[in-house]
Amino acid sequence: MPEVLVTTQPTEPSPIEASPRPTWPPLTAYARILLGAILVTAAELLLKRGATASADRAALLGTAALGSYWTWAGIAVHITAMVNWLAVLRRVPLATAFSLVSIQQALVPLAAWGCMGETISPRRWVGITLVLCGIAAVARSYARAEEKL
Amino acid sequence: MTLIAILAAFACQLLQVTGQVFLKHAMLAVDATPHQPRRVALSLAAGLAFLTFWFLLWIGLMQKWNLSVIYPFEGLCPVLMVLGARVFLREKLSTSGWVGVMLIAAGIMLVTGS
Repeated sequence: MPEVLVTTQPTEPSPIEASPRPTWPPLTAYARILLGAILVTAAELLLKRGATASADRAALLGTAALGSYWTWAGIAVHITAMVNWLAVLRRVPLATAFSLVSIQQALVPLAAWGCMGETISPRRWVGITLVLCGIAAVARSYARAEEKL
Repeated sequence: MTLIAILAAFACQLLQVTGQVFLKHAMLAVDATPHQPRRVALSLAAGLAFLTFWFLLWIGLMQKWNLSVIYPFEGLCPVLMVLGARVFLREKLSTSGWVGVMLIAAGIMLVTGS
């Protein structure tokens, strides 16, 4: 892309907020978002196990599920994902970050299909394709906004 | 599918959007000059409080209703999130970005509803 020399700084806020201090692990925003999606996917699977284990004591607020170790494992992974998510939010606008992390909606059925041999209905394949196309569109629009700086 | 399930699932999405807006608000304050530790702490606490409530309500919904009933409401979340970010954080999304968000929303509803 061509280098453009500008004498004045643009006044509108940049899509990526400046991040002066490096974060650990040293990952790009995209890699961090993908890591977050994988962590949340794992956490949701653990939570589902915990919720199922305590379904006989169900209430509207799922406090009964706290009696299961699966739920606590899910919470631990969720906390890790949350710290990672805060690092993402420091650099990426919320609307973009949240749209990109929706890749987890495609990851769960794909993981179940690839690792556990579950079948995916045609309707679900269409949904997975739509999610991936949507993510590509959002990522492209974000990359363009980044280029304009 | 009762009315209370619809309302609870929708409220769940609103709780998540509110929590995320507060978290982003906190992260914007982290790199602000001059430093605003109070703003960071308050927004972070508010965000985590909303998300904790969202989390407990979400587990409750998963126990009470079938996943294929509750989960399609997740599809609303990206759309509500973009709206929330626009109103409260003045984040702008291009037209192709909006198209992408709509595709994601439709895709999530198809994936989760089947």
